[in-house]
Amino acid sequence: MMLREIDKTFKRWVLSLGLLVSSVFLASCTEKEPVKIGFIGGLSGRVADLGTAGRNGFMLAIEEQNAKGGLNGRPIEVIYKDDQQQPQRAQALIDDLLKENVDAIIGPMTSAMAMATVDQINIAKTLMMACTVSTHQLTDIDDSFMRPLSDNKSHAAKMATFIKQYEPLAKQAVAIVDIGNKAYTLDWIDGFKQAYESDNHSIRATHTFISTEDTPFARVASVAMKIDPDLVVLAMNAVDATLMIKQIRLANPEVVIAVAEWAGTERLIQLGGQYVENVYVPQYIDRSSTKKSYLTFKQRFNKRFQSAPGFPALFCYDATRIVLTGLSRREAPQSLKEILLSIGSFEGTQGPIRLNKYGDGQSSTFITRIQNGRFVVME
Amino acid sequence: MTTNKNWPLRTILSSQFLIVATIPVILVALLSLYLLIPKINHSHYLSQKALSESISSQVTTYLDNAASDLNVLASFAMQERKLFDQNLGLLDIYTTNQAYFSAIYLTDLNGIITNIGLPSHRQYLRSNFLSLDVSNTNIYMQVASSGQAAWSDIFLSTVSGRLSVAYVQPFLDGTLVGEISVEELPKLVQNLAEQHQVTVMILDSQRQLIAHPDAELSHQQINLSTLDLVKQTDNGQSLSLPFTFNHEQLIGTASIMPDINWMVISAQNKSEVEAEQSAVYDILVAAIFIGIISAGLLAMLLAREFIAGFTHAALQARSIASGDYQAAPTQSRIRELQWLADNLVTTGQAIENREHEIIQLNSDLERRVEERTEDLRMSHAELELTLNNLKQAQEQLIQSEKLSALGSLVAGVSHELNTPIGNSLMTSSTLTESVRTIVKQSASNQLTKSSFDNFISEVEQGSHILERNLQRASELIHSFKQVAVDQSSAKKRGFNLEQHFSEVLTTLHPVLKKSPIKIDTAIASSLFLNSYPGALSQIITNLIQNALLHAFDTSDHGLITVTANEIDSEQVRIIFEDNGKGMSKEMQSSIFDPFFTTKLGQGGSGLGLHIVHNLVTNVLKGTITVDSDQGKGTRMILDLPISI
Repeated sequence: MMLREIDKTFKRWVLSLGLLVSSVFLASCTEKEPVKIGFIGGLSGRVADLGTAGRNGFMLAIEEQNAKGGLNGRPIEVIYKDDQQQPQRAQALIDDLLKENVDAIIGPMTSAMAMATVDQINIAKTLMMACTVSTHQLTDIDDSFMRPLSDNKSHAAKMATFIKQYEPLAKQAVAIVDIGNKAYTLDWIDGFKQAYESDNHSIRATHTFISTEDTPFARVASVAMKIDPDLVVLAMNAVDATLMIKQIRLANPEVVIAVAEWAGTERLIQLGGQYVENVYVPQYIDRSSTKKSYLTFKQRFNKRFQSAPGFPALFCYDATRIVLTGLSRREAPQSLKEILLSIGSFEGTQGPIRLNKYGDGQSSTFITRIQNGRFVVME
Repeated sequence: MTTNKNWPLRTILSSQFLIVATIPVILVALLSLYLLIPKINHSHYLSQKALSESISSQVTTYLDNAASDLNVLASFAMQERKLFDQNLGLLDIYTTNQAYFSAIYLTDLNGIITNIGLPSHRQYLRSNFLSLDVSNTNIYMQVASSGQAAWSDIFLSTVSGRLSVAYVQPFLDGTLVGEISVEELPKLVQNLAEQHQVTVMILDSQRQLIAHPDAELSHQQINLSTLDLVKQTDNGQSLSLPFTFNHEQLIGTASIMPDINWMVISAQNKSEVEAEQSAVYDILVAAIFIGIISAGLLAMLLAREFIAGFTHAALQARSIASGDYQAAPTQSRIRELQWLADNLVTTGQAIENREHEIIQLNSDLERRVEERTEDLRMSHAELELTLNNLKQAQEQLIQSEKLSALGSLVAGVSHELNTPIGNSLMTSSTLTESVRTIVKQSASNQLTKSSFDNFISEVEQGSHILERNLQRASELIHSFKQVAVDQSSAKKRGFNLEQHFSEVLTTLHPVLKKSPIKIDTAIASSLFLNSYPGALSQIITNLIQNALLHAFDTSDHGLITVTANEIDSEQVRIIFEDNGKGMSKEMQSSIFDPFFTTKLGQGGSGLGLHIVHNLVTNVLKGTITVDSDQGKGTRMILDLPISI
């Protein structure tokens, strides 16, 4: 009897202690499962400016969303992967992300990496929203690959048409191409060539190299300049382009130079100095835009990273926001791809972004020329 | 049983022990919470702070050494400009042989690289970099505007392809720039991480990550300016804060390097730091549990001992209560319990002794009671004897009273008869005289008509007188006879109450005639009783004589009223009422007692009313009650059955 009473008292204590512990435990467990988003891009190495800028745009979009309380109350967890522009490494990293069961992948930043990994994500049916991949080889394919911009062929053609109109004397051209990212560069040159080669205009030679820190850019440029062209067309990243352009200008200060969009980052101007003056660069974005959404983005980005956003940051920002919109509206049986295609049109930093039925955006091209260290829009 | 709620000893002991065990633990817990843990945290903060400051100074020293190297070179070159002639290749040699710089180059006043020294394995790339225009780069613009030697922000070097920091100093018309690759820094922090189990992170002036134990992260220019720790440290605070980076929960402290405004964060895995806290918590929890369990056990053991002691004491008390005084005392190591047990034994013995005394007293008492009872019995016998004697005396008295009554009756009768018989004698002697006279006259012939007529008239008158007196005597004798017969025969018979009264009153006539007291009777003529008329006669006689004797003072002209009425078909009520002096209540309560008299020595025997009472109750089976008050007369009320 007495023992039973003690037993009761003890049980009551144990019970209340247990309740306390379990309530604390439960409270800590009620946090919602986070949404996982992977980012992949070239984040290190001498040409990491594209990747780090894209990563910063992505980071800003995620930070803004998390500050608003995440996605439908779920926090967003991000996983960064640095592909170092190496295809095999990129494939291994995509495997890692797929193993982590990410809800979507933002990136990669270059066409070469996209081409290396697109099969993996198609098999896994995990949506990959690339930021700045514009190879024509991924255009109009119904797969898990999407992008907020259009392929580069039209951009290159526009560039060619523009050169022919504004530099009528530039009829003999040489192309220098980084075939490390040939999915982009060769497509681009191809598009340029198709629009350029008429009325006695021709690309007389195409010189190729693979970008490494040991590439003898001066020598490649010197060789290309031997035929004394009127126009040099460059399809490569900004750092390589500055080294190349310096050498070209030293050989011929007057030659007309056009570079593909890839090099159109702030780094081109920073490292190019006086040599990049008057170089033609087609741009995905209009830096002089006075659209409120662009100015807001620019101001936020600047505040966060103490630098101006280029196109990689902007497209990654937009790409991330498209994916977040899709994830927030997705309901159980629907795939992210389906919901994105059904939404179709998204609010972009520089205006609405419309995805076609294959998940490709339609971006415009602004032809710019560098004047006094600035990209000045010509058309 | 008391109505207050009571608890088992076990519960009380357990709860009190638990309270005693818990309070110090709670106090210790509070102290730990508010003193020990903050102290642990503070020591973490201090060690982290010391570490980050030591790293700061290491890096600063490294950079200072590099800067002074470049300064030495510059001052040499100022004196001997030819030293920097491209063909001499002195910059190459210097770059190759010193420890710090990955490239040293000269620019002209426009920011064009005019000469560059590269390590031997990269010298073939010299033409890539000669003539490069660095005037748009941040580092160059920084120096160009200030004209002072300075360290640049971190930048991705075109020359080395690595994240670098450059020391830029004005030199002649241009600048002398030494680029240092920061790749050594990740190695440094990696070593520290291994040695100290800490995560050291170095941020550049824009708060981009340039060194992390994970070398890969060191190259990604991750901007950490939004971390609270970074913000607060930039605001001039020195503190330890938790933060999350690369999916790791860390707690760290930061310090800022002077001049180059880099930040060193020294952080520890939050779980490791918390492990120390949780060790404290674990110890506390363990202490609480040990406290509770040992308190519980102790309480149980003590309770068992107490309960055993108390139970034994209770049983002992109970056996004492049931009369067993020899219960053995328990042995307890608790002195008070032992005392209680011993005292219970003493109590038992004391009770036993007292019980013996009481038994002794009791038997004494019984003996004494028996003695007294014997005494009483004897005196009772004596009394009984006396009472018998008294009864005999009473009977004798009653007999003598009866005799006396008979005497007075005879006297009364004689007296009553005396008058008529005397009258008759006197008349007859007168008649005899008259007859003689007549005879004489006749004989003498002297008889005259007138004398004869006279004689006739005398005879006639004398006869009348004789007749009347003899009639009276006859009546008297009849009455006496009747009374005597009734009194003696005591036979039960039917009689008319009124007639009976009349007869009895006749016998009383001589007494009444002498008395100033009058008697009125109002007897219903239809009342017939089947009873003992003799007893009733005696009752009437006694009551009237009693009233005459006691109710009135001698001079009074009183009235006695006798009324008789039927109460119902069973009973009659006869009331003797006088208007005399009445009597007191005390007297009323005694008048029927034998030998009660107020006229002792004046002729009263004290038995008259007692005889009345006996006759009414024993013979006539009726009741008699007295109703009187001082000065208001007396009523004797007899209720008699009509038929017995």
